[in-house]
Amino acid sequence: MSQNWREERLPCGEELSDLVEQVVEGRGDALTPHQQRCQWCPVALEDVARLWGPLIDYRDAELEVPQGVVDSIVARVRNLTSLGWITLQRTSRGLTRVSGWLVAAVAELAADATPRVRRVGTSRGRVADTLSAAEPTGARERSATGGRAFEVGDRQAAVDLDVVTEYGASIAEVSERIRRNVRAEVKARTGLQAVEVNVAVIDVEGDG
Amino acid sequence: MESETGAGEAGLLSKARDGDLDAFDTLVRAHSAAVYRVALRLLGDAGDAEDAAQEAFLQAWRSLRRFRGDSSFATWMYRIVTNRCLNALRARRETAPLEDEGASPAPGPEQVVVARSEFTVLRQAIDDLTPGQRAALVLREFEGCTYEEIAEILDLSVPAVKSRLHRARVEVLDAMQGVR
Repeated sequence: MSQNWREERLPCGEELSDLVEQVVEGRGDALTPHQQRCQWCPVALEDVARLWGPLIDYRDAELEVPQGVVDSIVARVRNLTSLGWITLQRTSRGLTRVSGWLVAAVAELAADATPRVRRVGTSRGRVADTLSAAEPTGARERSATGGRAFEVGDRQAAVDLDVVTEYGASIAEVSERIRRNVRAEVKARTGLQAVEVNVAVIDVEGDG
Repeated sequence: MESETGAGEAGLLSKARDGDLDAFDTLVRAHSAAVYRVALRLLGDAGDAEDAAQEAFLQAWRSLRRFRGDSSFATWMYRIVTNRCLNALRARRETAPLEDEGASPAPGPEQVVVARSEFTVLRQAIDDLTPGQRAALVLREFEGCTYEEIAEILDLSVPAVKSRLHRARVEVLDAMQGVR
């Protein structure tokens, strides 16, 4: 005979949710006067304790987060936060700034969409999923270090990009096209002028 | 995590708010394991969890000026990462075909045998919870958050947290009844 845990009350009228909470929250042994006299409550309490046991064991085999994971998260966050801010507008009534990582993400997407560009950056991780949500392409695989953007002057940014191009493509041509796309896209999306777009071709990839 | 911080953490936060990257680094290092753990338990994939943790800290960095310190930084981070994960799970469900939608098919005989191990059953039961129930259970049972903290993290009232937790616990008890 097993307890139906979806019932609201035991035959004695006690609320099952109270009993479950009592055990799960570690007060299973502290019986109320009613529970000491009741024929139903102690059985139910014992049942909960028995069934809940594996979860306690499971929790106590607490998942240890590897140091490597912590280091990787710290490094990735540092990388993105260190991109800083670029001033867009400076008026007597206030300042408008655009984050460097936003500009970098726009630049990465523009570079990624350029023909014969295979990838921007090398490692996995996203720069800005605010953008990737709106983008049809695989922004998920974009590198945290693939693009960087810095303030040069007011409304002016310098962008550095690491890209992998298609084997056989003219590097000069592809990088000129990247530059054009990045300048146009950064201007359209942020209003900033990308006065300098530095393209580093870190690798080439053939088919297959 | 909260115990060792306190005053030191307030100092780090105010420095980070002024743009001190090293101060923020220290905060990220102190909280990344917890943030990652929650993401992993909610998303079930190590790569996704690391991405979620990164994005959560980035979001925190961006909105640091809005963090008034009404709750602890730990609770705030739980709130950010939990919401990100719940959104991701919601998006996942919208794109996936409705296979893991409530009515899972009755297990065949071979599945019953395979699923005998208690931990397997337990893990499955936790996986089968709705994302909202799973979040509450993970925060309470695995992260040790109080009801009040969970209410803050999930934007619920304390009674709503209690009832959500109860439903989650009932699912677990129900599943374990089959193997114990």
